[in-house]
Amino acid sequence: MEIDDGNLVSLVNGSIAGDEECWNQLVRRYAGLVAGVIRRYRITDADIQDISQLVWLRLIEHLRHIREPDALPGWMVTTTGRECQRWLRASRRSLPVDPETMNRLEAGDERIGDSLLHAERHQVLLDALNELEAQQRELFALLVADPPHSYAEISRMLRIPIGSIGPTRSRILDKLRATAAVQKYLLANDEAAQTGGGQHAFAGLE
Amino acid sequence: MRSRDWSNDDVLMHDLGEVLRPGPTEQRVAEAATGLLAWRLRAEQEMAALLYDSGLDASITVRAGGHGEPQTLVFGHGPVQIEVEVSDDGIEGQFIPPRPGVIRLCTVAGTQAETIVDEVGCFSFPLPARGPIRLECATAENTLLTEWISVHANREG
Repeated sequence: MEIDDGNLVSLVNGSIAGDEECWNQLVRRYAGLVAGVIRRYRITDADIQDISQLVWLRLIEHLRHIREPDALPGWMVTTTGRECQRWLRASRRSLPVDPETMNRLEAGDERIGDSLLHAERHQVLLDALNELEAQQRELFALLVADPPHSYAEISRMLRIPIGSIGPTRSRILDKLRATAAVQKYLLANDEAAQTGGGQHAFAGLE
Repeated sequence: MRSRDWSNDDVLMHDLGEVLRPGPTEQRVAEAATGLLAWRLRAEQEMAALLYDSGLDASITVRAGGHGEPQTLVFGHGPVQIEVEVSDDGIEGQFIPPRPGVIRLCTVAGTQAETIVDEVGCFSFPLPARGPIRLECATAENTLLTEWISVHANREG
């Protein structure tokens, strides 16, 4: 299954209609992007929940106004950044004014571009993984687990010969490289690099 | 912007790890979304947009020693405005122009309190513990919902 803008439109429309599964998919899709922005600020765990709730509630309010699906990642970054800054100002009000904090704030803004590129990459790999069979995805989930599993453990868990894990890993990596999602991404980025562009992740941000 | 070197197995595995293994912050962010879809706008409801928030007003935050300073918010929908002041003592608000109606204070957990607007449009609520809040203003004409806001009263301790 390839997730494309058409799919995003159906997730948005489903959420507007109250479909929880569409909403959950939308959340899974953007949670990493929101977390990436939040991590730039020194925010406590309890406040992460408050800020995240506000961002998601804003998204729910915004769903009906989405005209350009490509602009949604940029909108998520901007909205999350704004809520974090609001939080920062509010928490600073009970602290002495700290010029360092202002510097951190500005540094955070400049790195929004990185966040979007990271999110784009994340989505490409998610799409690529969706092209694999469930069993192959399962193997990869075990291969990247933290703390890591040994090949012996993986062999036991998946009931596959230990000697097949290495070659299977290589074969699946090649398969991922050959997926439409990855090929399209690499092509677009290399073209952009050659033409000195590469700002396509920002398209529709404003 | 050149893409990541995914011809390198280690680089590709590292990036796949980030996708397959969401970090603790990402998990917390995703969990925070649970159940929120129930708060989507209904057909008969209208949204009052946040027009002013003293929490975003740089000229106010520069003032030193603003410990426990009230937060002022203004919401608007057409000619109607809802002014709200949030302090440690609670939430005070005014409906402008005044009109009879019921105002509800909602958190993501549901309606926390309900009150009647007085003859000059004023209303008040105790401050909820924490988290986003919104006001639901039901008049004879319509139900107006304010945007969600977070209240920043000093809740330390």
